[in-house]
Amino acid sequence: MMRALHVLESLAAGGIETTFLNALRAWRLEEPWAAHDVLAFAGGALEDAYRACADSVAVTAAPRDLERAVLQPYDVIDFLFDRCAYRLLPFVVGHAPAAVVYGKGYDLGGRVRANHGLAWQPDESLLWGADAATFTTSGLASGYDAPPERVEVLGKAASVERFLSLPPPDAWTPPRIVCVANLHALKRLGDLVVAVSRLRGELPGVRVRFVGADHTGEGERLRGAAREAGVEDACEIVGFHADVAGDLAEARVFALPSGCEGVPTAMLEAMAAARPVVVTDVGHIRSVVDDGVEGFLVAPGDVGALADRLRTLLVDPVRARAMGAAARARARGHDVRTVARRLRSVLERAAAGASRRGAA
Amino acid sequence: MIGEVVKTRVVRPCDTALDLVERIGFDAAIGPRELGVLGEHAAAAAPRLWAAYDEHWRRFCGARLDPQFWCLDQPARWTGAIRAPDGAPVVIVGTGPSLKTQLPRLKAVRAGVHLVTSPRGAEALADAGLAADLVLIEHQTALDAMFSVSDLVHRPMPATRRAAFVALAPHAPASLVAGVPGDRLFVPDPMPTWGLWPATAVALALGSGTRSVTLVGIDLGTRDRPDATHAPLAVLLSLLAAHTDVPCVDAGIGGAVKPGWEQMVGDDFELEGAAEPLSLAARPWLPRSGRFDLAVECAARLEPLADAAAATLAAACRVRDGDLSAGARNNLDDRFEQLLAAGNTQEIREDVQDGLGAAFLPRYWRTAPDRALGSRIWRPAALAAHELVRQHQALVRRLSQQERTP
Repeated sequence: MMRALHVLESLAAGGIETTFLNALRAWRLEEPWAAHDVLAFAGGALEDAYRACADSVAVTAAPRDLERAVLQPYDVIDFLFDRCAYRLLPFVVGHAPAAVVYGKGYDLGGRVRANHGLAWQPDESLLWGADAATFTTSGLASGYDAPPERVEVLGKAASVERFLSLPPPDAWTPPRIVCVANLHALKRLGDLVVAVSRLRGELPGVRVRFVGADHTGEGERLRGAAREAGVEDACEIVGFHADVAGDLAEARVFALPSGCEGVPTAMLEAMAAARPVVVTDVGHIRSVVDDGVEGFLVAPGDVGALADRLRTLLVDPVRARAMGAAARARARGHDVRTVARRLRSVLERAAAGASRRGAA
Repeated sequence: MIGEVVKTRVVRPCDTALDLVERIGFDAAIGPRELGVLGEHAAAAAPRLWAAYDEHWRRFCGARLDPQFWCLDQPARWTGAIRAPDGAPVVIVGTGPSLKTQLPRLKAVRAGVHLVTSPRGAEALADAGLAADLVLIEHQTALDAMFSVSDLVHRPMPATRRAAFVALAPHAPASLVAGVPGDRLFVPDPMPTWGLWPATAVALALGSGTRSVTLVGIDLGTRDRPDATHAPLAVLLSLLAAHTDVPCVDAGIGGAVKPGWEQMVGDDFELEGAAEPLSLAARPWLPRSGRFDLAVECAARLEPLADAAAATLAAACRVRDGDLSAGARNNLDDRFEQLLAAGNTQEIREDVQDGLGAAFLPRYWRTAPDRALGSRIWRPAALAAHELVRQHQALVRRLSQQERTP
């Protein structure tokens, strides 16, 4: 059986950490094909969950500990983050016989590249030192200079299973909008507050619920914006919780006015819950949402368009339901179990290739 | 040896521990012997500083790497050192949990201290009605700097523009200081940095003539659970405190213990009236044209090395793609060995690091790849060679653009 090491920057409850945890869980349900060790530079809220499904979990940032850890007899070492890859991958490829798979997703580097076109050369070089490079979407892959025959597009993964059984919104679902995102200035959540204030006259019952962690004090700013716009009673800021199924069930539409995204996991979960989406056309959201099919795309900062598209879906339940159905169909293709199978295949092929070269 | 090297670094005397922190931070030395002549105090500090540099940075902190060549766009016109004329206390302000606890106290003593912080810290202070005296803009890597640039699109940081002085690393992106008046902007010299801004801020403060340095909001975890990711910063802060006579105080109540930093126990800072404003002992910084000329010279000097790297990359790709013949493997070994041997020359190392902003070959100069990897040596070879080739191409391209648009 193979032995794989997966290297993460932290075990905090972020997008890739959660997605990969679900991939590990999916692998656990299959016939065992590898022992999975996890190495993280920092701990976090998911540490216990990781310990429950990985064969071992080590949390350390000390260079010598890291070096000792990666020099264990692994068949493949899988880097899931830019920063830890930048720090550790040069050492790994210089000293470990294991195959190396470098994953590129919509984290720091990928997001900066996708949204602002800023390129950071060294992380392309990291791809050249790896046996395989995985990308979340082909759009992201096309932005990198990587050896083409080593590029694998996995697709954006989300744990959508539990949302697929939620009943779609109907005429009795209240005119409620849900927004699941970290409360951060990058997300432009204030635009949604303004949009709600514009809809208020026509739709007195309109409400928006913001669900997400607040590490920057953005929640307070958002409350201030709601007070200023006179819609404090229509804006609910509930903080982070892991299971957003209840929030989605009570909403007719999902909205994300963000100025900077990759392909947001929360949006895919909402789509799986058969909620149409009104989202900004940033990053690679377009790779999973066609304007007018699964929802609407608007330009970041265009509050008028945001309010207009929300109105369309809130006043027309039939259209909202049709778009929600299309969204659910699209989200099925991003089930983490499917993506985990693709990643497994990449890891196995990389290990086999490295082993062949080593034997020679 | 590849290429002929004519450039030499102007090496300043290294008398104090701060001088030594700066010298090590240049990543110019592979071993302690290359640190050159040290004065008594620097020599006393050298074993512990070098041990920390080896243990936590693996002898390469990369604090001055400029892979985006942002230095060429740097708007600063001044360089120099900050001075606290009356020796008033300097408070280094981070955004950790203890800042919130200490804000009332900070407000109460504001007039008697100098506040030094990061752009985010300046925003947090501004939210509490406080303006920073010095904002230091420094990132650990260019990737982090890029994230700040993209962050700025969505969250302007006006507090930085209101600071009395803004100090920025020579390779900080220009967009981060848009709107900062030129007379308040400078590149610190000396710049004792290992890439972690709070330690750099402490080092700048220690060099300012202050009579004490206090940390607020630089918590690095909690007392019970220090954050392991901040271990290098904690070590460096402790070493800075250990090698100065200036009292170092940690007002981060509840934060991780930093050996050498006295935990604040009283209710207040020791003050002697209102502090005179910080001043800047400034001189003109190397103008843009001078930086451009240096980059042109560097690109020319590195041409032979870039050619050698291109040949190494081709050899690595051949092995990677399955040609495991003795000829292909020996060719790769020979070529990669040539790149590794280039690191024996300090001037080439400086050119590759300072001029190209390359990180990977410099790391292999310090921690050589394992020869037992056999044919799998293609991986480090491809990684290091690819970066060198592409960075050289990028620099040449960047310089030609600048030539077209002076």
